[in-house]
Parts: sequence; C-alpha cells; structure tokens
Amino acid sequence: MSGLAHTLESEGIATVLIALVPQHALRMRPPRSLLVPFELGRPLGAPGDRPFQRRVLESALKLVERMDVPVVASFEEEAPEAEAETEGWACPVSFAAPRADADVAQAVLDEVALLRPWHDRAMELRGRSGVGASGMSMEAGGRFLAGCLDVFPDSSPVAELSLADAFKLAVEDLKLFYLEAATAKPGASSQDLGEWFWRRTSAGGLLCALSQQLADAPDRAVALHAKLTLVPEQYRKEAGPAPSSHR
Amino acid sequence: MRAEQVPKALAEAPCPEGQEPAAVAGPPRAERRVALISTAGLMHAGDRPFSLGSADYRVIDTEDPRPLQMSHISTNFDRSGFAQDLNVVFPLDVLQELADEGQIGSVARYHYAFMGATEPKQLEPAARDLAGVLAGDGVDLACLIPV
Repeated sequence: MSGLAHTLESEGIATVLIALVPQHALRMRPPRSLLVPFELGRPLGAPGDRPFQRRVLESALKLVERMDVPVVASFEEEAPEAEAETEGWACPVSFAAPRADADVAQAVLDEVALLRPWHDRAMELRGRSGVGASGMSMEAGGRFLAGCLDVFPDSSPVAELSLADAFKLAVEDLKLFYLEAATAKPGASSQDLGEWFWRRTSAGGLLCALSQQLADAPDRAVALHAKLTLVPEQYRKEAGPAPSSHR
Repeated sequence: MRAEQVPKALAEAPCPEGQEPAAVAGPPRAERRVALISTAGLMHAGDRPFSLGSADYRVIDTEDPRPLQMSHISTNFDRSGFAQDLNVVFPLDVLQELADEGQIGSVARYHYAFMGATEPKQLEPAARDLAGVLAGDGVDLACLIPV
C-alpha cells in the first residue's frame, strides 16, 4: 500500500493512506498516512457505524493539505465494539455438534441449508452479497471441497479458473456465506464469529482438514493455499487430525 | 487481528525502506476529485478473480450494478466486517456523503482495487499506468485503503 502511494505521488497524483500495520508505514514512509488502531480487514473501523467511518475517512482526507511529507498522523479513537459482545452472541441457527463419523460433505450441506434463510435475510437487509467469486453454488462448492479430502481432483471444476483458484475461491465463498448469514442477527464481534466458524461448524472443520491433508498436494498452488491461506494462523495451530470425508 | 497481533512475518515483511516521498500540491480539498484505491482484492462479480502473485488491478465502476466480491488470497484478516458492510472496507457511500456536503469536490466514477498480498515492487508498473488513468479522469486525490 505504501509503495503504491510513493508511485502515484511520484507520478503526480496526491495521495492519502490509511495504515492498519503501522510498522509498514513507518518503514516505507509514504507521503501522508493515517495510522488507525483497528483490526486487519476493517480499515474504516466499524461495520454499520457510518458516523465513525466518516470520522476516519475525513481524518485521512484532511491530510492532503499537508506538504511536510512524510506526514504520519494517528487516529486515536478505538472502534466501538459490537453491542452484544459482553452479553454473548449466539448464531441464529443451532447446529448439532459435528460427529466424528459423519459424512463431512453432507454435514456442510446440512449447515448451508439451515443457514440459507438467514443468508436470504442478510441479503434483504444489505441489498448485496459478496458470495459467488468461485462461480459455484454453495452446494457445488461444498461438495467439491469435501471431495478433495478423498480424491485430489485432476482438473478445475470451473472452466475459467485454475484448480488452485477454484479451490481457494470456493473456500472463501463458503466462509463468507456463513459470515453473511450469521451476521443477519446483529451483535457478533469478529472474535465471536471466528470462534463460531472455526470451532463449531462442520465447514470450519472441513477447511482445517483440507489445510492439513492438502499441504503436500500435487498441485503446488493448492498446497501453498492449504498451508498458508485456508485457516487463520491462530486456528491452524490447533487443528486436529484430518478426517476423511466418509468413514 | 489488530496491528499488535499481526504475525511477525507480516509485520516485518520485506518492503523498500527510506524512500524520500514526493509531495504533489493541488487545489483545496473541497475542490478535489477523489478516487479510492483498495488493496482488498475487490472486483465486480464476474470479473477475473485475483490469484497468487496478481500484480494488476480491477476497475470498480460506480455505474456498474454488479455487486463487489473479494478475492484476496490471505486468510489472516477479518472478513466479517466486509460481510456486513462494504463501507468498512471500501467507503464509497461515505465518500459520496462527504462530496454531497462539499468537503471534497467530487467522487470519481472509477475506483481501483489491487490485491495487497503481492510484493509492493511487483505492483509498481500497474501503479504507474494507473497514475495516468487517474489524471485522465481528472482525479487529483487518491485515497489508499488497505485491508
């Protein structure tokens, strides 16, 4: 990000930058940066809080008036926490605990079916969904991913995508579908949602299993995704033994 | 995950250090035309997804009704904010509000997204090209937003 700022400004376009990782901005010295104390993934701080987002964006844009570069300013206000964080958030749907002997593909499809009305509700509330980058339906993507536990595919299920891209995008679609559906009921913090998805859903279990099982996949890009981009670091370390999709 | 919890490998990722920043002068903020540049790997539904090593950008057209999707490859950032509210990642509506109130001059029609997991040096050719595109659209302030 800081590199982009240097390049654009050196080509005559004034820049301001929001910085989530202060170490990078301080080392790379972009022309004008606003350091923000938010978690990665939320550069404007708080979803659904327009006044707060405005304060962040205004603070960044105002920096364009400064010519004493490099300008490093700090946004000191913490992002407000989700209302229900202290009361305990619960997913709108109660899943049965994942069974060790269950068919993983079916368990994921069952969860998707249970979440579907809440996903519909989320789309109605927000007028949008970010799900769909893989080009596969939730059901097709879930089956494809669970199938990778049994037999490594020899080709991509989507003609326009490489196997690795289809694999990674199916993972992100699945995760985002769950997150969009679960947040139709407000009040969850990102930590609540992470704990729920990675520890209490079959989909989270499936991704942890894929992360382990495909770390040595014959497709190098798939193996790289399995090792690094499927499961967040804090949950990856806790992953148990990989199940197969059928027992 | 907050900045202090960023994995050491990411916080200390190789990046060019010490470059002397340029400073471009221009009109008052209230007269500037602003474009957002995100590194969240955003794209319109149906556009080519970002992939490992992608060093190009996608065009976000404010007149394109297709929803925005995210194809960033990293898993080490929160996506639940994006799931709930596009503006927490890509504050186009917020920017429009500021324009409506006269705090900035106008909002550009076109905005842009890179995929920030690619090394900064590899993004440079596309960024140089983009500078010309922005100037051609009358943009004189780029607001860069990470993820």
